[in-house]
Amino acid sequence: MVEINLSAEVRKLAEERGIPLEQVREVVQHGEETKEKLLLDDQTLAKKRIGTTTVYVVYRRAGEAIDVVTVYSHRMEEREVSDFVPDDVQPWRCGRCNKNVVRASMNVSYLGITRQAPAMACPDCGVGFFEEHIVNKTLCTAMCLFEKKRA
Amino acid sequence: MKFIVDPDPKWVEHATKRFAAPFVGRPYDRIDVDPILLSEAGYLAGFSAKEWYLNPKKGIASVIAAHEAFDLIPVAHWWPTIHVWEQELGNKLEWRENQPPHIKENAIKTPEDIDKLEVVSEEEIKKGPTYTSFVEAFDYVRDNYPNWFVPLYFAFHPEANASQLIGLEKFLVMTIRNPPLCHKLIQKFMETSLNGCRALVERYGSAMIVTGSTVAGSDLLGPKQVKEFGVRYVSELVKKALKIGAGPQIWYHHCGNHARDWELWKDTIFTPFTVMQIGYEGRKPFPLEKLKQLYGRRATLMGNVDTMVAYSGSPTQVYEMAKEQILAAKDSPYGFISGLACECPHGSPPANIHALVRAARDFGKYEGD
Ligand SMILES: [Zn+2]
Repeated sequence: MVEINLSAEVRKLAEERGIPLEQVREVVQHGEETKEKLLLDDQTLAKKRIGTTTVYVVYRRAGEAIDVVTVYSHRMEEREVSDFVPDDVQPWRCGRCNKNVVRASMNVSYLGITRQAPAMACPDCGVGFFEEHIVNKTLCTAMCLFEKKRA
Repeated sequence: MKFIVDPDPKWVEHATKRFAAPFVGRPYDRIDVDPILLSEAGYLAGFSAKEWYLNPKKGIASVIAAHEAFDLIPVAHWWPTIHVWEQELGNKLEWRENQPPHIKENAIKTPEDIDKLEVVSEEEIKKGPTYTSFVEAFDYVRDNYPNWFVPLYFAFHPEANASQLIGLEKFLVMTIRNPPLCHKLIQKFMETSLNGCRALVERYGSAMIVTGSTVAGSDLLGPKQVKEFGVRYVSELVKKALKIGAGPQIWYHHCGNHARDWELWKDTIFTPFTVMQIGYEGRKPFPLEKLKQLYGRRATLMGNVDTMVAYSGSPTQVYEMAKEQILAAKDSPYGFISGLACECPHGSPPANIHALVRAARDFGKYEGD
């Protein structure tokens, strides 16, 4: 089993965000096996839906081991990607197609409500990812409001 | 003593539910209304536009009072001028008694000045008139009317504010003769504005992003230029503002005529809390049917009753125009807010604001409520 290292800071973050180490491992493994990941310099961004949660992990290889840079997650259902903006090229590359991803929109659903959120996506295979601040602010605000209003 | 009587908390509660409804896909009692009352709220409370702009507390309080009186959205708009973050870069403003302030002297006299222009740091911007007056208004609301507290990152329109630094005519010439210099100017303005965003987010933890376009519209530029000088910067500004921690609420106000460029704005950024408004198609309010088709699943739409009709038309004219828009956009997937195409002109008759609300009551009710 590959060794996964979390600094004290990242460990605290993972704890606060309710992301157990097993899930971090699962996401890394998923990214490496399926190539459903984005690459930027020595960093990799992978994600996996585990139960009703989509967990994102940014990590880098450290020899045989993996150093985790950050983790974040949300409970909205990620759906179709649209509105690709080819001019707005992002620094990350698709792990499958090796193409730079571009700015796009991804539909997200929660409690029966569907809305768009800004994402980055591969123009070839269409895989979409959310950046950390979008998950922690935009999606988090949406989930809170939807829960309050649907209660 | 406070300037206005505290709004009825029961009304605020009701208005807050109505306002949240489109964003959670659950219609409440009726379509909401926002006539974009700025110094008009001062007029309704008996003071001049100049006083409204120069007295943030009194200004924003007058908006709260007007919104309660007319049963409007429970959000108080206030900004010190549309020339935000410009004085910090050297523009000189002149206040007029009953109109918004205008530019007395441009910061940039010659194209060479653009190279010398320096982005204003966050530290410096905190001492400038834009930030300090926003803080005066928002602190006052936070401390006195916490239910109304929605700080704004009022970015206005990057290309329009940039054009004001050199003067519109010179700017337009520059878009053709020297596009790189034009980009440099917009970039420097935008980075200054984003430093304002940083300062506001640092103070309040968040801020609703208000932006859009005016110069980048169909009266002054072709679609290709709108994309180059408008869409690109609005996208970049919003992207950066979100990263700084503003949003996720965004209000896109595309002012003026967008007959030939209205589709281009779909390439900007949409969060689940985005309001989209396009003013005009030629001289007529932009058709809501069309707006709904392209933007109905991207944003909550906002109406655009002609401001000239609001100012000099009859209440019936306002009512009929609002009715038509409500019937066209009421069923828009992510909801609809009835409103004016731009700021309600100072001195518009109160009866016309009432007519706008009457149309929402008469035609904006949701079935089963
Ligand atoms: Zn791909």
